[in-house]
Amino acid sequence: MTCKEAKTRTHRVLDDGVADPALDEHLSACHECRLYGTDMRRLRMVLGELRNETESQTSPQGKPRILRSTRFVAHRRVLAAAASIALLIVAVRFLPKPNEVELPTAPTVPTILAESQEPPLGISLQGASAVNLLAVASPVSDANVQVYFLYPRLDAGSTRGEPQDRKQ
Amino acid sequence: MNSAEVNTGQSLTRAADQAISAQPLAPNVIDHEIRDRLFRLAYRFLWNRDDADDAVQSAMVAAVEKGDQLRDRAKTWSWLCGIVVQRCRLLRRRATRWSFHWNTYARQVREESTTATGSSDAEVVRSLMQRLPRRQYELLVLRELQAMNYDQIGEVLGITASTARVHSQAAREALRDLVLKSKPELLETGDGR
Repeated sequence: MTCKEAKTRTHRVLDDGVADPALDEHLSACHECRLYGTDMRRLRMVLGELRNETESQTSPQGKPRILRSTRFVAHRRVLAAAASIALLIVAVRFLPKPNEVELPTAPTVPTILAESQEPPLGISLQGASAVNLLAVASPVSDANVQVYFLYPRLDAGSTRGEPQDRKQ
Repeated sequence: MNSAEVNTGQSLTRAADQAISAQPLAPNVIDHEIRDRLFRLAYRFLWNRDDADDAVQSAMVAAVEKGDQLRDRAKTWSWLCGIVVQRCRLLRRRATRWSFHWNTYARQVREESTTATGSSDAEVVRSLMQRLPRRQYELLVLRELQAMNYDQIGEVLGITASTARVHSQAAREALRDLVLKSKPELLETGDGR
């Protein structure tokens, strides 16, 4: 009997549990095959331990659980519902109510306070000795400080040719 | 396989047959005994309770949907096991395809192994088993952990009994080699290795 055949017979003996005198004879003479058989028996023993452990670990769990794919869909739906509720809360809490909406007001018409050809308050305009100026009260002025803006008057009679003035 | 196991297999086949042919068909008509045995099978493939549960339930749904495709009613149990094995195969493949999921999966397996599995030898062998090629791993699970005979294994995996026997022998030898490389003291018995 060759060692290869002996190994095959070893597995057959382990599987079927039948005696094999020819194999025993070979094993008594071959240390390698004897070692192989011992290893296989030990391995089967450890696998048997593993089988017994999993047998106890996999006890019935009671009612069947939901499929993971279904759980995922359910999970997604719950998330979507929670997000919707959160958005609704934010909208109710922070968005202005319809009666509190501040309607845009019409721009205030600047009041022309003075019209002069001389720069007021000692302001000198370089290159222009006489310019039609408009003093306009600023809308941001308050009771204590009055802010004026000076605009050159741009009507038909005004002098718009400042470059010409500079040339002079 | 002894006579008690054969009887259990026959009764399971009868119960599975009744469950599949019951009207109206629904996964919940399948007997709890069958479900538990299939769950055990899936768990031994996946080593994760959630995944095993999913595999069994999707297999139940598939079995009910494809019940009319079963030609030989005597092989109902093997047919059911085959569907579960296919589902487990899919889950394992998916776990190895996505590294993120794989990390999660491996972590869960590790946690379960440290908490649930008490024996360190069994734990080592289990982790080494998972390094084997797919066919050898499946054969070891079905033969050594599920204690199926080679005829049943052949029906489940769609191979002949003799092929199952040969592959099973190769799987044991490969596992032995892995153990000798990783943890030789596990096989030492004091006989002068």
